[in-house]
Amino acid sequence: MNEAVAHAEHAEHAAHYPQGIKRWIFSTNHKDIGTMYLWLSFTMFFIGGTSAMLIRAELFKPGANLVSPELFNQLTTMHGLIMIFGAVMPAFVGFANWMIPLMIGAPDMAMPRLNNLSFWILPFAFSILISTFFMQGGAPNFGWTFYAPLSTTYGPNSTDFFIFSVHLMGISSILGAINIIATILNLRAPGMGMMQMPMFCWTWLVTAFLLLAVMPVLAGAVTMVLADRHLGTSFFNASGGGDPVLFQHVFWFFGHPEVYVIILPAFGIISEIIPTFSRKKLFGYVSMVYAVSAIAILSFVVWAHHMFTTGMPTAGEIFFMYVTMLIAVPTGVKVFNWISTMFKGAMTFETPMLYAIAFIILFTIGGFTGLMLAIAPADFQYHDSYFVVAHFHYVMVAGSLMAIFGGVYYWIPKWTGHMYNETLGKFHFWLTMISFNVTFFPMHFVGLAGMPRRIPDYALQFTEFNQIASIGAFTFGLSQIFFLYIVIRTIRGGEPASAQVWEGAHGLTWTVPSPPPYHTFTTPPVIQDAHG
Amino acid sequence: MVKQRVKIIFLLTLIFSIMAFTYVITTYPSLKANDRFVGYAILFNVLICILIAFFVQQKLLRNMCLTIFGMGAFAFALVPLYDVFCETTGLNGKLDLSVKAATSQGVDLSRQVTVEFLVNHNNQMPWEFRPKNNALIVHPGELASTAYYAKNPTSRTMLAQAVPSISPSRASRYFKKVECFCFSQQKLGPGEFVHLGLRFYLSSDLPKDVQRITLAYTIFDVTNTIMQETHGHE
Repeated sequence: MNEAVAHAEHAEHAAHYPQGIKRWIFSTNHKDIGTMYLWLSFTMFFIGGTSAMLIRAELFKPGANLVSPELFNQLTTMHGLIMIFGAVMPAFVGFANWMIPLMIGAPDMAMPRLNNLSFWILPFAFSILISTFFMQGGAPNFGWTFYAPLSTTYGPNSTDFFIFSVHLMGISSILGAINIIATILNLRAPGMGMMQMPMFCWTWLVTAFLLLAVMPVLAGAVTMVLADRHLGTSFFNASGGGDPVLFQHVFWFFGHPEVYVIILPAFGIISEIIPTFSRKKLFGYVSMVYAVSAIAILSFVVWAHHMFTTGMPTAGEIFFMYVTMLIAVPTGVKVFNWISTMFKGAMTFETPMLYAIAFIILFTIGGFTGLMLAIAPADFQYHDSYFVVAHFHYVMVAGSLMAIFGGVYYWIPKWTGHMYNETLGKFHFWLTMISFNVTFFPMHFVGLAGMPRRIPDYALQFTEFNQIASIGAFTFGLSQIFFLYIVIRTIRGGEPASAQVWEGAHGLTWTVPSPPPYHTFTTPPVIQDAHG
Repeated sequence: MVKQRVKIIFLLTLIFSIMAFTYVITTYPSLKANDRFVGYAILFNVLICILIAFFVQQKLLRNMCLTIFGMGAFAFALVPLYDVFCETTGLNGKLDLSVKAATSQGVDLSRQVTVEFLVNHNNQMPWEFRPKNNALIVHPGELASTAYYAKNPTSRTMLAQAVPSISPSRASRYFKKVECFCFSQQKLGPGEFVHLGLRFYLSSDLPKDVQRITLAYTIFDVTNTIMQETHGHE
């Protein structure tokens, strides 16, 4: 450890980098790029959140209230697109940039200039996407899944901008994935085998392979939509010999692995937090690795469970139903391992740990509703109802987003060198936890009672539950402004953090000082204890 | 040296076959816009894969790039794969849009199947379009014929395409068309009307439990798309 500190001090002297704006625009430093990814994600989170607030305000009362139905459709579409591609995915890439080189003892990412490119594509992609709000005919209004013919025959003119921005996001994700794979496979410190890597690196390695495999399919899908709109083809148009159902197959072939792209890094973060605050090693490390890989492989053969109501033959429905249910097995292994890690551990409940535990509980609820939706005959009732909305917010907000919050609290002392304020952090946690459940739990019931999603109005009997959900959503939104305050406060000052930060933290990350110098591990570290 | 020569010959053959393939895609007359586009897209991805395989020396980077562009080709290959899959299995109620020779197999007089005829309008299609019979009762193997009435009430010449769909979808494999107006586009001048013939038979190996088959035609206005396309290729 002393050696690492010595190297770090040496690196501090050697660090010379452009100051001011040039430092960020031309940055090839994994820490700077990671920071930029995280801030981009935070910005997008607030933009996507604003559209969610408008949606909940419109749904506060039945009838036409605040926004026109056309704008409502645009808001739901953009909320989905911005949250998935703008908030959650860049946040995880930001974590990967910051943490993977520190975890495996690498001086930087394998391809630093590529890293710069893959970040700087994103602000342009999202400027294009968000600018569609101000265009004639409005923003895309067909839902984030852009089903044909809504996006082909009936899409607004801005659909072409949407297609171009999705192409850019895809390129960015692919470049990021290439970089992460190359880093993990080539730049591990000597002595760190694949099975000694921290769990977060494993989950990101698998995620990166998923990205490589499915992002080209998304690019293909949007290209076909573009060709149908302008080049005289009719891939998704029955009158020209195409088939609109084909769109759903192509889209969900991308879409389902995408779901795991969003959740697997969250699994990785949770697998880092739980051992630290349980003061035990992660239970069942090898089975965790195999479970992640199994989830990734299975994700390629379950896509049609999103399409049970398209008139699939019974044999297909049965196949996709059982394969979908099979995913519960490796996921169950992971949940079991997290709980076993906590079992008889010397647990303390700092904010990251609270988020991790909330993640396990709420993600499991989301997983169970997923199993309910997987039952093909029952899905005909749940399909396109608020039950589905409740399900995917339980896995994406309580899953991915809470893991991101937990990860930020867990690593922010390392990033900034300051401890966050524990009281404020816990307050933010409880606000988030309670308001999240107030928002999304009632949606299960209104969904089962038949309230359809993506509609700006509803039947009168759903009023009370929608008002409860809206109040919860406003609280949730405001709590995140509070989170922004906590983050800024921590960056600007606070109790200085030690190199190890957390009593139970193990691994290379915690051998470098907090904040880490601009260049770390310029000479490879000596491995003593790789994963906690 | 020998290896180098083999490599060059291989590369030349490859370039030649790609050129030939491009020529076929570009000039083959009966290819539709879809197939042309898919052809170019797959060609593009495969070409990049080949370039990567030849010029990227680093193994890991090469494999990653091959995965990306291989999956790109796969995305477009899904289009023909989907069609082949649907046609061979008869899923999705898609009908084989080719003329079948009239049957010589025996008529199964012991069974009766009701064939119902439905019509859907699409794209705000203004044509009058309805079947002559709402339903026919046929024996498997028996050649049956019916007609559809179509009228163009507008003041311009229009082109229409009828797209058939069979329900239950597993019966679509046994529904053989001898003559159908859906094989081609229908052109009607202002105020013109026509009786469109349909001749079909059900093959005698139709599953025993199928007693009722619904044939639904959706009629699309393709005046703009098809006129453009034929114009473009002429």
